[in-house]
Amino acid sequence: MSSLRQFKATDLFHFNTINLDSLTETYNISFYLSYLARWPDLFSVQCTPSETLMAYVMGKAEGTGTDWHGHVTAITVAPEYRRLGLAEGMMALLEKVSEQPYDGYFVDLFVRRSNKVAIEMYKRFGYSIYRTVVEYYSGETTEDAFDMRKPLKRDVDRKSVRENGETFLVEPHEVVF
Amino acid sequence: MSDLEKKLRPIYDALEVGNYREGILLCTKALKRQPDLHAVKALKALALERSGKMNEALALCEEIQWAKPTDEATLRTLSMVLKSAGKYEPMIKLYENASKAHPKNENLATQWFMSLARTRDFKGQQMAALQLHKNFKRTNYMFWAIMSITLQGQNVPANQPNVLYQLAERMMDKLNTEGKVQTIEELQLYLIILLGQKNRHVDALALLEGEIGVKTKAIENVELRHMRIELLIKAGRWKDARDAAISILKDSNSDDWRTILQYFDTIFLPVQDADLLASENLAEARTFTTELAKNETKNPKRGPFLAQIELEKRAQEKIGNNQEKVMDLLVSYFDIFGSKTCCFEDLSGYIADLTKDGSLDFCKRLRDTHGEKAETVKQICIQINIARFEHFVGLHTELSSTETTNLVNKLWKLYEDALPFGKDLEETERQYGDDYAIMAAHLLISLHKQTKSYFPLLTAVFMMEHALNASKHNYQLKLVLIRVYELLGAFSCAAAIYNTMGIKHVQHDTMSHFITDRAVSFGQFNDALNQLYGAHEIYHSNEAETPEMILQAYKYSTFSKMQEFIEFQSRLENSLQKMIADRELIRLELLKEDSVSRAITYLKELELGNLKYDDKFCESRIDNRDTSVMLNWNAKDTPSVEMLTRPAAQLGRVWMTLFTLVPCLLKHMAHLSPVDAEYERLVDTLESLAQDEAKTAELTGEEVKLAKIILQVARAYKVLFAAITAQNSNSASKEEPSATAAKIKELLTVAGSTLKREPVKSTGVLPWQSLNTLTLSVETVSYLNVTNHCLLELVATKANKKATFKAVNTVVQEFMGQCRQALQSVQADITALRNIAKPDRIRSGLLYEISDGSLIDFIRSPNNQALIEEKTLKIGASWMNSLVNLQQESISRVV
Repeated sequence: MSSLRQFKATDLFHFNTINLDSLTETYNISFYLSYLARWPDLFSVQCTPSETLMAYVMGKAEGTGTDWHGHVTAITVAPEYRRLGLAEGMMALLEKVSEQPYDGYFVDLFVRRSNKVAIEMYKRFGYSIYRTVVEYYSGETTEDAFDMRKPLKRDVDRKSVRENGETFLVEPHEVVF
Repeated sequence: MSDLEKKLRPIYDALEVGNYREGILLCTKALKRQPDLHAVKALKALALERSGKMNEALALCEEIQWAKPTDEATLRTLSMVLKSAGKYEPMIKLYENASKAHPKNENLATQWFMSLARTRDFKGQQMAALQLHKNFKRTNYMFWAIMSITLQGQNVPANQPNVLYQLAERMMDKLNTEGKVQTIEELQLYLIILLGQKNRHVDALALLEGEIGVKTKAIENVELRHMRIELLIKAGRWKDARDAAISILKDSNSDDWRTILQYFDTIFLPVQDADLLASENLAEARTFTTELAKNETKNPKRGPFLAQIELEKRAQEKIGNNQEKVMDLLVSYFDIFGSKTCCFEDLSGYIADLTKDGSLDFCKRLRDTHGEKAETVKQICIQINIARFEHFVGLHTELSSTETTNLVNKLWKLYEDALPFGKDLEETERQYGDDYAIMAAHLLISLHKQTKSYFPLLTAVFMMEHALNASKHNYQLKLVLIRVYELLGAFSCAAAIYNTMGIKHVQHDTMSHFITDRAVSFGQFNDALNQLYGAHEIYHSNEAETPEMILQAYKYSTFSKMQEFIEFQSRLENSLQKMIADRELIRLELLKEDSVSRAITYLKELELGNLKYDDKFCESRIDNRDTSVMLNWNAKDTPSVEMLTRPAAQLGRVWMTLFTLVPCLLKHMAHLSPVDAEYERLVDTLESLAQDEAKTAELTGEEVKLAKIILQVARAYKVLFAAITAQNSNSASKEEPSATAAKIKELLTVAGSTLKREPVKSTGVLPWQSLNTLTLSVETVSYLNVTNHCLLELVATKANKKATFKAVNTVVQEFMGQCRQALQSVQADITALRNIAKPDRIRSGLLYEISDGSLIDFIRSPNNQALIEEKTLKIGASWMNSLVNLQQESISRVV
């Protein structure tokens, strides 16, 4: 029971239930608004009937040639609303939009190697590990990222799926589109 | 490489690596040889700005502006410098001039448009966009022009003909006929224009369903799909609307609540309530929602089940005799989703609509089914939800203090029992029973309200701190802690928690009120200033970043977001919280000036432009503060926990007005300015504020006193000024000097007696209220020090015959004595209160009282003694901070 709609700039005044959680980073105004200014249909939010924000996803379309794809930049669900299938609904929408109007070949996302719960969840949604980005996350401790991909209709040859992608290593600078 | 480029290269290089000194030197050298090189001058301005010399940079910018340069490099650099100073206006003229000088340069013309967009000059934008279109023929520029016209038209009142929208529509029609409306964003702009006019939904629908709608696959866009159903409903095309809603719910998202609501509109709107029972619609909806629910097998979504409840609730409202069905659905909803945290939020609205007996019955049925079983995580979650509902329907209110204590003990026990289930949880996750602990805190807060005792609040602190050890990042625990620490007068403790919450950027506007509201009152002026300045960053970011994002939206032709971005910008620009913070900053900055002469200098330099207080200004402030984020299970229409934990009435427009009037009046007096119409207006506004009970209800007693005292001295200033003027001009209306002195004495006597107060009682704790009383005393006297000085100065510098006003001087001197006394009583209070804040006194006094005969199990448990002692000492240390600072402040103000 959630309304899935596009994120509005003014939703930033109401996203505390989600962003006060320690796992969700709050960025500056430009970060959110630059996504909205360019890919308004890839930035969605799930709300309760009383318009409380429960979860949001922000994405972009990037790449050239057969690398043209939808990318999940951030997806987050407030603690109170986890395990309700909200992420699934938002991912499904992002995939749909990546297909139409963007006509991408696949959708991809980066996830911390240690985040087993998330990795399992994405696998359930049809994503698989395409490659490992070595030391993608920097900070107190560095960590590898898995680049996980899910093919869209346009990827008829399923080139975005790779057997044992986990063992295919790349450096962070190689994943900039 | 051209000659100029050769000259510029080393300068660019120096700036790029951040070597601004070198950059400035190179520029100066180059300019010596060729003083009219604007590009170099601009780079010098940039280097100056980057090294923090804003004034020099701006002076240089002004020089360049006079020369009206037209080359892109100079203009770009100039624009960077001016932008960082928040000055957008000058670039408009420069780019306009440059693009006229180089009519074939598309970039310059675009920059002209963008410079207008930065300042939201919609009319100017329109002209620039049309010029762009004329010279460069891109259709995109025509859409920019149409968008600019639409933005001009958006503020036309709905009942007036909107010629701007009509114009925008004609231009759009023409483009459409030429087949130039092609993207979904262009279509959205078209729709904004149509729907911005009265009764145009049919046309909008035709557009959406017509050729462009099909071409752009509009119906696949989430927002346009929703809009289409909305328009179908408005047009009364019930079947089409219903079919569209059904197809979404069945095929793509059965959980989509706004579509479910649209579906119900197609059911209920076409039928009169009287005919509903017999109508096919109701039967159809029942079948449909049941079927939807039936399809939810694995990992069921909540939408269809809630839709069933919503449907039967509406049927109950319209035809009655349906309570039982609603109740059964509520209970069976709980059976499915009772272990989800959001179950409470999902159902509470419906429970609130039940009769009192009905809501009690609901809880009873849950208890009958689930008992008190808590052997699995799922069962714990179910139990917590039942407790939430029991709290919500009033089973936890109107209890005796013994009953409340028992309940607190019970909830804490449940919390502790749940802990072992979460021993493997990640550090970032919450313990399963945290909400039990929070509910216990809520009960303790109510107990404090009821008994006025501070021990329940201390208990709540210990419990929340304890729970925080097991759930390090649970922000709900932190929010309760911040508020309870504030009630307990422990600002340092509240700030320490607040600082761990990672509150950043836009959250500064929505969340900072938790720490900055009346932060002055704690007497820790520097810490309060730091919090306020930290939070204030967001308003600078808004000025610097949001205009650029509006430009981005033009760049990518994202017309659907334009109004939204502008609204976002304006909500921050006109934020109530911003204005409150501005006023609080003035108070604190003024309080920091402990000598009268420095305070007067500060006041003289204060910019009046920022000190607005007229009704229109106050009413147009926008309240972005987030007060709903704090957990609350209190019954509907009763005060929320957020409200119950406010140390004083919420800050609002009355408070804002008071703390605008005070510095304005002080500034006026500091300048020894004549009593003019503006001064009269200030005094009148303050008078009506101080005497209006509805208004003073938004203030604390001390703030009302402050208002009344300043009112008296403001009147005294007026009397004295008039008397001096009359004496100087020897006018017929001049009065006996003794009469002037008597009038002033009368006013100051009232002020003096308002200033007097009872000593702050020492009750073992030092709550917010006590600190507020002391701080406001110090604050009031520091204002009076200024006004007394001004009254004396008025005589000393304005009166031709100073001796005439000797009696006035005596009266003021007497009043200064009263001010000194007020400070002395603050000092006496503090000396007494410091005793209770000393660590050894806390150990032998407060700590003993906390545990002595406490009926709270948590307090009695030996395991918790270390934590209780540690936190109590921290609270004591915070009190001591406040007291030491206030002591110093009050000593330094004795004049």
